[in-house]
Amino acid sequence: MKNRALRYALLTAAFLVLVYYLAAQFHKETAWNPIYAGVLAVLGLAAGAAWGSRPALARWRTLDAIVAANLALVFGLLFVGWSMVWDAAKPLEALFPGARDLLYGFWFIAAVIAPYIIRKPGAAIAAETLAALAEFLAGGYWGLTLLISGLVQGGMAEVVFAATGYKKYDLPTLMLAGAAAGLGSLVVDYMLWYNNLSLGVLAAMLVARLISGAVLAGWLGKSIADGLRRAGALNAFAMAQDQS
Amino acid sequence: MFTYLSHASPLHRLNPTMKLAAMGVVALAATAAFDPFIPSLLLLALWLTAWQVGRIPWRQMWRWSLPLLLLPWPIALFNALYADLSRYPHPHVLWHWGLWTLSTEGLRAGLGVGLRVGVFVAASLLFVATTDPTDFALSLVQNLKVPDRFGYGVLVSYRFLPLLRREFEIIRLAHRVRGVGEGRGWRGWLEKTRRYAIPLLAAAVRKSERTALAMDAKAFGALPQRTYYRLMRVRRQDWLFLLAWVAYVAAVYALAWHLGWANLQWVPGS
Repeated sequence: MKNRALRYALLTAAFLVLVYYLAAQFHKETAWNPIYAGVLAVLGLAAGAAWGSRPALARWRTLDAIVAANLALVFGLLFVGWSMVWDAAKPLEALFPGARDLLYGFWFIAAVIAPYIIRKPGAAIAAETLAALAEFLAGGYWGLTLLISGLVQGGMAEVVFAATGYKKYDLPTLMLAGAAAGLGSLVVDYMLWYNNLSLGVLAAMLVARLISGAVLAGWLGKSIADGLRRAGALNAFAMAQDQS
Repeated sequence: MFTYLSHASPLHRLNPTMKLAAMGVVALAATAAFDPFIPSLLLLALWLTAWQVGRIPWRQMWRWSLPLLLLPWPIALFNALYADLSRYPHPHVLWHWGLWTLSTEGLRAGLGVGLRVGVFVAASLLFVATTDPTDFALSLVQNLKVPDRFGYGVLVSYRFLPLLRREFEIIRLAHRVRGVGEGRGWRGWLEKTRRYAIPLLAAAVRKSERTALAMDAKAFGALPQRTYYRLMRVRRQDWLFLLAWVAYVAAVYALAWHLGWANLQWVPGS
C-alpha cells in the first residue's frame, strides 16, 4: 500500500506519546512536559516514515536509486560548503537568537528536490539521509549527528509527501515539506545542543527554521529542479511528464 | 575536514556498522549528560583510542584536533547566554544586560554542551579516519540491510567524486571564458550557487542515466538472490569493541554519580 509510510509515522508517534503520557500518569518522578511530548511525536513521525518507506525503496527503478545517490552526493558536498556560510554568520547568533536560523533551510534541499524529480515513495528520506552520509564522509563538522539530522529532516519531509498520497508536487506542498524538515531539524538540535535554552529563544528559532525551510529548501529546490528540466536533463523522470 | 587514512590498524579491521554503533553509544551517552565531567572523560578516551589503537599519525591527530579546540566555544557561549534559568532554584547571576544573562549555572551547562560537541567531533574523527568508504557501503547493505540498489548507488557516486571536482573546474572556466560576472553581496552569492548547481546536477543526472543503463544491461538486481564478492562479517572483536565502549560509558556514569558531579536533566528524579 502506498501510504504505508504515513501509517507507520502516525502509529509510531502516537505510541511514543502514549507511553510518555502513561509514564507521567503512573510514575511519580516523571513529569508531563509538553515540549518533551512534541519532541517524541516528531521523532516518532520521522522514524515511522523512515521504517515504513523501506519496502517502497526496494521497488525503485535502478535509475531512480542511482540518480538519488548522485544528487545526494552533490548536495552533501554543497552542505559542507554551507557549513562555512553558517560559520561566517556566527555573530548573528549571539546578537539575536534565531536570526542565523534563517539560513538553516538550505540543508533540507535534498529532501525537496529528489521527491520533486523522482516522485516515488521514500525519495525524501533516502535523498536527505544519503546527502547527510556524503557530508559525514566528506568530513562535515557535526560528524555522526549528521546522520540523525538527515534521517529526521528527511523523515519529516517524507510525512508531508506521504500525506498527499505522493500525488501533489506543487510549490505549496514543497514549501510545506521544507518547513516540516525545519521542525525536525530543531527537534534534533534541541536534543543535542539546545535543551538548556529558554523557551522564547527556542520559539524564535522554530519560526526562523520554518520560514527558512519553506524558502531555501522548498522554493529554491523547486527553482533549481525547474532549471534542470529546462536544461533537458530530466526527460527520463516522472517529473518531465507532469506540468505542475 | 577528516579523510580516510588507508594504513592498517586494529580499528581499520573492525566491521564498519559495529564501529558506527559503538560511536553511536558514546554520542548518546554524551547527549544525556549536562555536566562538563562526563563528556570530558568520553572525549579523552575517544582521542586516545583514535591515536593509539587507530594508529593515526601524531601530526594528523594534532591538525584534526585544532577544530576540536575551537569549535565548542561559540556554542558554549550561546548556551550560557540564553540558558533557561527558571530551571534552577537560586541562579548565581554574574552579569545581565538586555536579552543577555551570564550565570554560573549557565556557564557550567554551556561548558558541558561545548564538550559534547567535542565528543561528536572526536567520534567522527575516529570513524571517518579508520573506515574505508567502500567497506562502509558494503557493510550497510550486508549488515544493516539497506536496499542494495542504494548501497551500490552510493558506491557508484563515491567513484564519481574525483570526476565531480573536475567538472566543477570545467564549469568555472566555461563561465570565465564567457565573461559571466561574479556577483557581489548575498544576492550575487545566491545567483552564483544556482549557476554552479544546475550544470553540476545536470551532469550528475546524465552520468546516473548512463550508469543505470549499464547496470540494468548487466541484469543488476534482476534475480531474487544476491551474492557478494566481499563479505562483511560481524566477528567477535566487533562485539568486544562495542561492549568495551558500553562498559566504559557505564563506568564513567557510575563514577560521576558517585562523585555527585553528574547532571542528568532528562532522567526523571535526578
